[in-house]
Amino acid sequence: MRAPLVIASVVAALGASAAGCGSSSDGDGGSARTLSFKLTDAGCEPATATAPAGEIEFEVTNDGAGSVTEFEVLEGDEVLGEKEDLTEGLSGSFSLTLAPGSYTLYCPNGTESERGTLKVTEHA
Amino acid sequence: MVPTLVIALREGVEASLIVGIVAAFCVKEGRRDALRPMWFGVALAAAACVVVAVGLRMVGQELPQREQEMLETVIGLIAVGAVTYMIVWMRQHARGLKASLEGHARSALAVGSTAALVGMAFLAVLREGFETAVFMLAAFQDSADPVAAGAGAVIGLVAAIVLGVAIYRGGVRINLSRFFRITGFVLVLVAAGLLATSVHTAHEAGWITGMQGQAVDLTWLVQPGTVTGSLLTGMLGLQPEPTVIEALAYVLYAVPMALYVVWPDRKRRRPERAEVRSAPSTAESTA
Repeated sequence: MRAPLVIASVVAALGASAAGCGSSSDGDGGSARTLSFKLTDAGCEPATATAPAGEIEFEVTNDGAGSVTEFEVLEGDEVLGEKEDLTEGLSGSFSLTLAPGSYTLYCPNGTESERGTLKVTEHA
Repeated sequence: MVPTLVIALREGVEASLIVGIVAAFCVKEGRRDALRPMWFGVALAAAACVVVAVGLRMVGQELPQREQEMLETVIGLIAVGAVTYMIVWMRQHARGLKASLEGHARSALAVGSTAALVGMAFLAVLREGFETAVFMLAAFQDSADPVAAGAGAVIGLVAAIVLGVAIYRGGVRINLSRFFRITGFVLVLVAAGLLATSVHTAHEAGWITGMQGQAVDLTWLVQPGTVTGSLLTGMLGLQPEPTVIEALAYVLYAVPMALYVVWPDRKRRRPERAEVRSAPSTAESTA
């Protein structure tokens, strides 16, 4: 059976990409901007945000939402980054390098602010 | 407790459904000997997922979401292929199954295809396992109320496994001629759901960017955050708010395949009908 081989390669791939994420955010030092969002039953909070172009770290925390457990950043219809399975009290983060423009924040199943907007401005 | 239960159930049931179907199929098709390597593969996949989840936690890394979605998409598509193969195999042997009930001389699955199905069970666990293992650890360690959250996650996972076992038992017990008709239909829905789910994860992996408008509103049926909602999503691939491309993939697979499953049934009946209406031509005039 080739199972061990498959495992080894998948584990290696996951490990490598995890390591890759780590080193890229470490190397950027102070230039990475952190945006914090909360998931509530209403949706994304805040539903609008602004940040300068460059690397942005998204920190997402579930603040007591029952049916909203996911956070996505989209450009048009393309998902650029997301965090799933965040139940109450759980948090997660991911970082994206964004060019100036308008992006969509998406918190599926939110009642009021299921979709929000992220404005990325020219780098100062 | 409910939110963690719902997620663990949804992730777990996707894997245990495929494993249960594969196991029942192997037994049904005379390859009970394939069960041992299958369970070995399932245990191996589960162990690998726990190791990766614990490892990620120890080095303080998140599960790379995009790569996870890519993995789910690829394995999901392989699973669609595997389930489609089962449907086709059963259709082609449905007649033989009926005829050889007494003779017990059924054509067993070839060794190669059994190995592929065993591999499928392994991949199915791997597909959902990383995400589930990472989630379970987080539920226990980081939740606002770790006891309730952890208990919910465990109950959800156990319920998923129990469902998989029930599917296997039910699949094995159901009588042969009914097995194909019922399972064939259910398998079409499962495969269509898997395809729609793969389209969903392909979108989250950044591979699909078009046709993302909402096709229909199913929130009345697939209520977010509920047990029934997570079962419908996990077992039949129904999203609360399916996109146009997800709905399209579902329908384009389900409709022709459902017709394909029904077809041989008609073929077999035709001779009987022909005998009945052989004398008068009135049957045609009523049509």
